[in-house]
Amino acid sequence: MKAATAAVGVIMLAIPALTTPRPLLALAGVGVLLVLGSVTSRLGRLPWIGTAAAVTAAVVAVIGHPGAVLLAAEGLIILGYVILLDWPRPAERALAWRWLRLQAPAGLAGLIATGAVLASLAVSAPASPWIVLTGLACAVAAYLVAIPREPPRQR
Amino acid sequence: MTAHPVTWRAGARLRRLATIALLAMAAAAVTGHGDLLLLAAPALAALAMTGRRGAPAKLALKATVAVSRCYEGEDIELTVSLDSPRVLDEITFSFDPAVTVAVVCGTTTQVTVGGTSAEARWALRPAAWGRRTPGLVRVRCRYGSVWQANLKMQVGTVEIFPHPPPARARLVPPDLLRRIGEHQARTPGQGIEFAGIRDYVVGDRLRDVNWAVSSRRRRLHVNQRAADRAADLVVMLDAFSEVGPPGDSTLDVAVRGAAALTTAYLRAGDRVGAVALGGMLRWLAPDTGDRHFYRIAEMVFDVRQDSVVTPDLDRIPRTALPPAALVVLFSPLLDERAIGAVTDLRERGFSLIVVDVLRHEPPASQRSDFSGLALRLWRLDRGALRARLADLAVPVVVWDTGDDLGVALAPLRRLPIQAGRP
Repeated sequence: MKAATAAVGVIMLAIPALTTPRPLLALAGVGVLLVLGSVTSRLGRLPWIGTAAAVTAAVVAVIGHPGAVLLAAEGLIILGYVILLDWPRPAERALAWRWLRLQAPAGLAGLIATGAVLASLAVSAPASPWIVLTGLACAVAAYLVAIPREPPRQR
Repeated sequence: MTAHPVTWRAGARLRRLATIALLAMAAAAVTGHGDLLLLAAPALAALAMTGRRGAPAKLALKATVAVSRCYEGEDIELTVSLDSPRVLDEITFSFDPAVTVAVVCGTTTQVTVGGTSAEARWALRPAAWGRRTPGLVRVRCRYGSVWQANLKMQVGTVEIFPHPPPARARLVPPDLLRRIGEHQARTPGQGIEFAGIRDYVVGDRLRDVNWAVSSRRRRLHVNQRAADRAADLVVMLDAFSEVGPPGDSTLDVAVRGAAALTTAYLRAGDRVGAVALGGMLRWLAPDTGDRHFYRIAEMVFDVRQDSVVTPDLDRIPRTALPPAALVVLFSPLLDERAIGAVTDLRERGFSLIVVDVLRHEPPASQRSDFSGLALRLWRLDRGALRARLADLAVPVVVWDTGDDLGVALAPLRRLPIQAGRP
């Protein structure tokens, strides 16, 4: 599973690197190092290594801006990498399929969302700052939901 | 099985997805490229799939050790089980063994994927005696792929008895008890060991007549046999000082030595008592039987306590320290209070043997030129201490290997053990 994670991570950085300006390829190189670090036993224990690798891939994709289809693939591959990073390391290989089946709903949801966004992008609609603002608000709301909160202390 | 309340927190995946979604959305907003939303869409969709609703508020966790008592070096099985009212995505059990416990079978971390219950097993081997907990169990549960809860539980204490190295009940005090045992007394009696020949007197049994001697001397002679008597042994532990690594410290060695002698003498039908110096003065009057070994071991479990109190041996009742008993002190001879106790006992006329259990010399520093000299002075000081005890007719035996204690005590069989005031 480590090899699969590393492979997905490298592909995640290779796709946007195709269209990235040459001076910024070093950033993709750093991303590859982070990917490799995230699958090693020692560095893999640090959760920010995997996050940094995924963020690097997203940044390279934003800079390279490789077209809608490749961006859709990139988004799905980032999701796949993030899911694979959560593979419980000491688990036996026999558990892999069972674990992957449990992750299938998240992957399927990502696929549907990507399809929906691709479809909406295909429809020509007049540019509106409200759409962008709404999207930004959604992202902020999602982030606020995600951040951990301290449970209320019982007296 | 104990129900533990759990707090579900955001896992690493949730933070990663949220970070990427926010970054992509912000980039789309700043650059005005709507297609950058394609980077955020899968992450946002995966986030939308996660819900903490329905996550169990309590999880039942149980850690069971197969036995509550064992000997050092014996394998014991630890079983940890977790029950949940809802299906959990992943249950990971980790075990942090205590310093003196080794995991013999089972990986330190064990994972179960998908299910309402999970179980992990480990085979453990404790390497040091005492009333100890084998370690700490940590459980990580995942619900809805991104919510995580951590539980931890201390495994219940196990009484680990010292594993006695081989020894035999060979040393006896000069005065034996008036009770049948396995040791040959100096007085004639009804034993089986040949003690001498004497003239026949009325009342002697005919089967004791030595016909060969009688025919030569033309007078009846009978064989005399030594009486078989039991002995009293008191093992004394010096717990004032403890040096050495865990599991092989001077106190560990002392307790193992005491266990060896206790087992050997109890097996021979002798009475064995115990006195622990250090912390609170503890004692147990001599008694017979295998059960007494466990009584002594349980008393010894509590000796690991720091103390600045000098033991008052007068407090020990006569029944716990009989005057005719052979006293064997296991000590590293590092604390003056223990040496004072030896002197006190010897001056009161007890037959005393000291077993030096110090196995590790102080480490000499390579940086200092004087450390070698200091070590030599320390050795001379130890030699002088032994000579001082020898002047009091207290033999000091060095037991610095893990071998048979009988081998270490063998030289004393040739020497008479002193009794009475010096």
